[in-house]
Amino acid sequence: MRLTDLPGDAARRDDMGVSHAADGTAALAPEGAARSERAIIQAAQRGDAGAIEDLYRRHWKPAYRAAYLVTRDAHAAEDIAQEAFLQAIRVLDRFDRARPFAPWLHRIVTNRALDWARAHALRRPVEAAHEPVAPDARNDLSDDLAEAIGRLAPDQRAVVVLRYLLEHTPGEIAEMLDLPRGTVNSRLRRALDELAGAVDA
Amino acid sequence: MNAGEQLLSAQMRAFEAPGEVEAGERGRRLMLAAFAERTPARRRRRVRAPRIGWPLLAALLTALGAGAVAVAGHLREGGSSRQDSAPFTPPQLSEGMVLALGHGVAYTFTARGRVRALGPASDGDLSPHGSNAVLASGSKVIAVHVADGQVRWQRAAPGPVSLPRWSVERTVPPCCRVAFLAGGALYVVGGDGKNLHRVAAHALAVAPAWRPHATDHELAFAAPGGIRLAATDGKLPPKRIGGAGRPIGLSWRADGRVLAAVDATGVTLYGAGGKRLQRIAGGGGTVLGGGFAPQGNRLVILRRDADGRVSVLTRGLAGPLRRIRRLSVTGVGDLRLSPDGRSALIASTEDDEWIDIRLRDGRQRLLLGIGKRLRAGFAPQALAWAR
Repeated sequence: MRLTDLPGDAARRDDMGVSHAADGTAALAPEGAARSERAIIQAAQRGDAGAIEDLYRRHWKPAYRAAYLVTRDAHAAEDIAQEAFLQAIRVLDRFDRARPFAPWLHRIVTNRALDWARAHALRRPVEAAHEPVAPDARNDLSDDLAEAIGRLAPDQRAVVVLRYLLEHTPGEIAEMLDLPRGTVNSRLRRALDELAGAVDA
Repeated sequence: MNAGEQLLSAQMRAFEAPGEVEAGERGRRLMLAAFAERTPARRRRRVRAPRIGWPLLAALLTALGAGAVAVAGHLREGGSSRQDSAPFTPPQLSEGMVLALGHGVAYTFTARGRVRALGPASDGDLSPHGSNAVLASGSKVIAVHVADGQVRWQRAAPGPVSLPRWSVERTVPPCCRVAFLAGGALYVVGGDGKNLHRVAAHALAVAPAWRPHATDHELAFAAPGGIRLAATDGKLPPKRIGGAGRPIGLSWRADGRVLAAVDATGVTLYGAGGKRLQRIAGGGGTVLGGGFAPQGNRLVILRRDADGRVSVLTRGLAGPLRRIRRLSVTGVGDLRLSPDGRSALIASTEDDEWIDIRLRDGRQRLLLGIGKRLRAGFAPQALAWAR
């Protein structure tokens, strides 16, 4: 399912290239792009700075949001997402343009965020690691759901983010996190049970 | 995803993380600065081999020793160094080409990852060479050239067409035949679209099975009252070779001497003359499908176990069925066997993935994102696998 498939899809695009539906919700999937991702990566490989900026605009927000939801720390999320993009620049010449960029980026971001969250959880209680949401931030995630995601174990947060924010299949998640698929499914099931009361009906 | 999961996904995707705009701008500047400092890699150039004959060069290199022979191999391959490993492995078949169906459109999907939409269809099959596909589309049976998607021929049928099956002879048309069901009857048409005729007035909705190495284009099919074998080029009526049970699948062993009739509880083997040879129990649970591999003697069965899980079982020339794999998914489509008989392909109906199982040892490989690649919807089904 893509958010752009939802009703009221009179979309506009903001300055970060993220589309917003008429009801103000944001869609993460890049759409209506003037050129394909393959062409963008090809242009970036040739040294086109505009292309690398285009690639960044397409993928920054999903990467940052994923890192934030796993770490629950804005500074850590920024570092993790930035480092993933810098890694992309380092290996740009070795990219196979026929292959999708997003899964590769999501794999790096989620694994690093997961490492950070695990390490952080050892140092202090999870509650203390939650950064309060800035009061001026427009945040459509209900407080209950945000709190519920924050209460999940880091491993569960990672699979929830990959499945429901970034919309990867359990098989893809298993490959990204190097887990058996049964483990991914069981983590998703447990996480869903814990989140059940927090999802707005 | 169920409704609750979709709601969760929508809420998460609508989420804006604190500070993301400011962090995004900082990241953008950092990214552009890093990109400006980057030195683009030089393009690899194809190394041209010297313009001398390969036999002469080979003789020269043999005289020079093994190291020189290795250099010669590099030159013969065009001198290109191996590509660096890609960051993310795309779905790849182990061999050949699969005809897939998603959202009412038939596609071909090759081992090299090439995808081609062939047209609207509800069912289909590939020719033995994999150069043509036959599609069931409404009340028409349509043959399409796979390489360019052009319609080679189409024939109208007296009802909705289903279960088209191309004969297994590996020679050039018009030797080949296409069998299909329409309006409850079994029809056969030549591989060139000519000579459409009805073989049986009544046939059950089970894919007919062409007998390999038959001299007269023999076809096994399920009919009310039992399994029949028809010589489709002859005048004789179909002869009965099986009992009254209702099979869910028919397939011939590669040598054309044994027919497997798969039903919900096991497999019955028949000789080509109609003699019942053996009954192989499914071993509990419900058999979902299966049959003989296109090469060799291996029999492969897909079974739903009592606990709801799905298992893949195989058997060689003799002995009981042996489980080689239990799948982690519970919703599966039909089983398709590779042309060399070494692999089985099972499409998940729960997820966007195909499961490629090596029959020798049950090792599995997941082909993820097939639906995304085909733009064919959530879980495309594999209809046929050919070279």
